[in-house]
Amino acid sequence: MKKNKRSQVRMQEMAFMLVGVIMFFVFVGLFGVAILFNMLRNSAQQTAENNALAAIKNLASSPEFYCATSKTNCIDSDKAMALSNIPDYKKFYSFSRLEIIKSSAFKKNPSDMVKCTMANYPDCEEIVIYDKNVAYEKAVSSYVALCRIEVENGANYQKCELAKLVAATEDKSSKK
Amino acid sequence: MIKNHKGQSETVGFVLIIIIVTLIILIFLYFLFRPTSNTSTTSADMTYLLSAFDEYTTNCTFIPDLPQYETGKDLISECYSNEGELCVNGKTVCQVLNDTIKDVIGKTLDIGQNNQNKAYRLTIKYFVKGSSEQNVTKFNTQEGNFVNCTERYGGYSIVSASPGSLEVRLEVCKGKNGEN
Repeated sequence: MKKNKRSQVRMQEMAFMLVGVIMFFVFVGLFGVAILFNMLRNSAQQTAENNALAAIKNLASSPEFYCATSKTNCIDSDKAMALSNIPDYKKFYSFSRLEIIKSSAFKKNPSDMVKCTMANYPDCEEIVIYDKNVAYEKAVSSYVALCRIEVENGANYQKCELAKLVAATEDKSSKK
Repeated sequence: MIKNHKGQSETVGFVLIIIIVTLIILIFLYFLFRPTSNTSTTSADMTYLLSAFDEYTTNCTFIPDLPQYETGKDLISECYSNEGELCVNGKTVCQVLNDTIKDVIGKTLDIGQNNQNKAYRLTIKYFVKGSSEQNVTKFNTQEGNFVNCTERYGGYSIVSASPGSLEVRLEVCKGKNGEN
């Protein structure tokens, strides 16, 4: 009788241990799946950003932006201004926002930058080609030479300054 | 009683082994799948910065009253071949190059001991492929100190200087404040 009871206790102990071990593995599995899922989501976002970065690096050499004089990594400021007045370009590119920021505004908040219009160009800091006004977006940027024709003492010359070409894509991971 | 105690010890040992093995597997998985650093992207950024600097219009011209301003690339070339040459503003080409680099880098990288980027170094080296006259430093400018860098990144560009080439290399020191 006593021996039978002791066996029952041992079986109970064994059962508790097995339940404990299974629970432990379930928690570890859930933890692992959560980590992998998080990594996958970050990887997808990183891929989207890399694609946007690769795309903007090619933008400077596209006919819509490149400088007529064979300069590398150069954007024609006048062309960019002309594009900013054509709303159809919103549909042409896959970005949610596309803009050029001059070096004088690199350290400024976006709200403090002087937006370029036909009235104040070229004495401005930010050429917004288009903005779809998306709530959550991630921006990537690339340095470019921003060039335009200037006149001094009656002579023309090409003036190039440093600027950033900024392209933003919709950040789907931040949406709730 | 002694047999029962021995059984309990075995169970505890078994659970401990399972926990240790699981932890080892988890650590291994972490190192296997951990996200890689994006140094290469940043380095590409610096290469694009130097490429934009090559076309940058400086305030150095050699003809008075005529707006034939030299580009960054022209000044790099001039500073190598004729470093004593004076611009109309009275400064030598190398002085203007140094001032322009400081201005451009200052606007873009925000260098400072309490900032994300602690220091930068820009070197221009002359090299001829297959010649003994290789990697001769022709120009060197630096701001800040390269100490306690958590990451070093940079880029380079090549400017033609017949019969060889000039390699412009930019190196940036990123500190702990930049890890946010």
